[in-house]
Amino acid sequence: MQTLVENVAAWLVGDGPEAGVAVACQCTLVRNLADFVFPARCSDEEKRSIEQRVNAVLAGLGLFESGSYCSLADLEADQVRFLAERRLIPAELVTASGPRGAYISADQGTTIAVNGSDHLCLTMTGSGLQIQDLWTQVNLLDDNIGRSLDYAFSERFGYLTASLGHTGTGLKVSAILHLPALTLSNRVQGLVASARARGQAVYGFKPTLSGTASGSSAQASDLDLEETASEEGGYAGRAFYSDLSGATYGDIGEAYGDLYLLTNLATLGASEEEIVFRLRQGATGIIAQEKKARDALRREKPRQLEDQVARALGLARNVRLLGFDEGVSLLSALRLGVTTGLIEGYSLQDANELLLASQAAHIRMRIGPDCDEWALSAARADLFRARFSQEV
Amino acid sequence: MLCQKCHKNLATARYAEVVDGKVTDVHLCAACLRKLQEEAGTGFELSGPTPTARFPARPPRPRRRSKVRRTCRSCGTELARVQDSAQVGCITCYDVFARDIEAMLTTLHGAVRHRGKAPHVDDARTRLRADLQDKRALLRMALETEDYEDAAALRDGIRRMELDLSTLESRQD
Repeated sequence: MQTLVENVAAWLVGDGPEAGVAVACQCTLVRNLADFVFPARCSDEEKRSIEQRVNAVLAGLGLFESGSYCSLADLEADQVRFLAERRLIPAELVTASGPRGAYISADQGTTIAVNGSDHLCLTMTGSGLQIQDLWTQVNLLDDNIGRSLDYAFSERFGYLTASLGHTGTGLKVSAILHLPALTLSNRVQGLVASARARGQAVYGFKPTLSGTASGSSAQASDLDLEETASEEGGYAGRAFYSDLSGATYGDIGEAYGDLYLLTNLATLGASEEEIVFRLRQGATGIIAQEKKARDALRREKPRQLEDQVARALGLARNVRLLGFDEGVSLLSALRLGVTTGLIEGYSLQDANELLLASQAAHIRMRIGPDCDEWALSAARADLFRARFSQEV
Repeated sequence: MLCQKCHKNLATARYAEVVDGKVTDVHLCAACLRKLQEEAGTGFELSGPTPTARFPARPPRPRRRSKVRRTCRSCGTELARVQDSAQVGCITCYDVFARDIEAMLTTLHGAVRHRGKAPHVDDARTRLRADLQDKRALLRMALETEDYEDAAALRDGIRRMELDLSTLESRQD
């Protein structure tokens, strides 16, 4: 666990194609074993049996040479939340019960969640927009595992899943896009309609209260959080959880940090290659629009853009208390500053790492579990000051 | 995908609303969709007198449901639950509720037939896993009825079959 906390996930480096706009992308395959009922109906004994069987197969494939299996039953609540914040386990696994866990590769790019809403959930995460590569890798992993395990499959419906929303290919492909210029020019709404026509959806990134995967309290202010903290036995803190599609959803109008998620809606009726191709095409189009909008912003409103970036940098260097929402907004402006060349000496990795590190469970893992919202805000501010302290 | 209103249930419907030329697209569960439709009314207000009650307004018809409570023979999931949550309990649900599930898949995906990759299938393993599935269903029923003698025998049988299955799998490797 400590290794996971200290090591930087490979995708955070921000060296993937189009990483200036595409923060990360994910390919997820949902699979079930043919001879067990789906996890929601499984007994603990059956879940244990599934866990053992999957682990035996993963060991046979030599996956434990470059990764390990985390059994969630052995972890504390904060550690489970940490894994969800780091996008290593889907929100479905946090809320599930009984024997469950996840294989996590050393570079934190490959994860296999066991006994979430489905028996298996194979996920590959990469920097930038490299959906095709991720699909090739996850497909190979799926073939290898499928040789030793009998998947639930029917000729008619394809891969059978607990949710009818994943039936067929069981493939969910997503890209996290940072779209500050399109947001500023009120053009994100237009993306929704065009995405829908392609069978895809654009959602705003929305924080959820760490510890609840529902996001129902996401609108709570910091003050509300303190109240919630006392109600929930001292726990509070906001975070970005990811579900099987890559994020807990929000309306376009309530996107935090200008972060959006593009994902496929249909998993049945189109082949995997087609789904991947269409999503890559859709994301490429959005990225081109965002770049154009950024160029226009630099050309037409250079002073306003500079001001926004410089203010964010000033705040990041001097802030003493920083809420999660404000931190995410600062990171958006700083990321824009890095990609447009307005601030030098910092990289996308700084912004990516801080985005994860400023979440509640990440901070608690670092400074200890006994901290209230004020202590979280102070620790978050310290992180920003430390990262952006040097003069450009 | 979770419902974007209540963030609790699974979204089973897409709801598009056009306000001042802007399209808002939300994914909702059945309950929130009903609530929203009730709140939204007809969407247009007529300035003239209300038309006479030639076609008296009727309350929206409840979703057509089978009068008989249909449940999956393997996992015990009820059809009504599948329709509400878009979640099934096991692979047998797909057979038992095939027609209803086809209708739901058409709404969710716009298609009912799978196109794409298929796993490698071995006949002996397929037979064995089907038998295993049946035996497990029987074991659950035996435990529910507190028939521990049969349950013990079934559990032994399942263990033997699991061993056979793993032998077949290792041979396959």
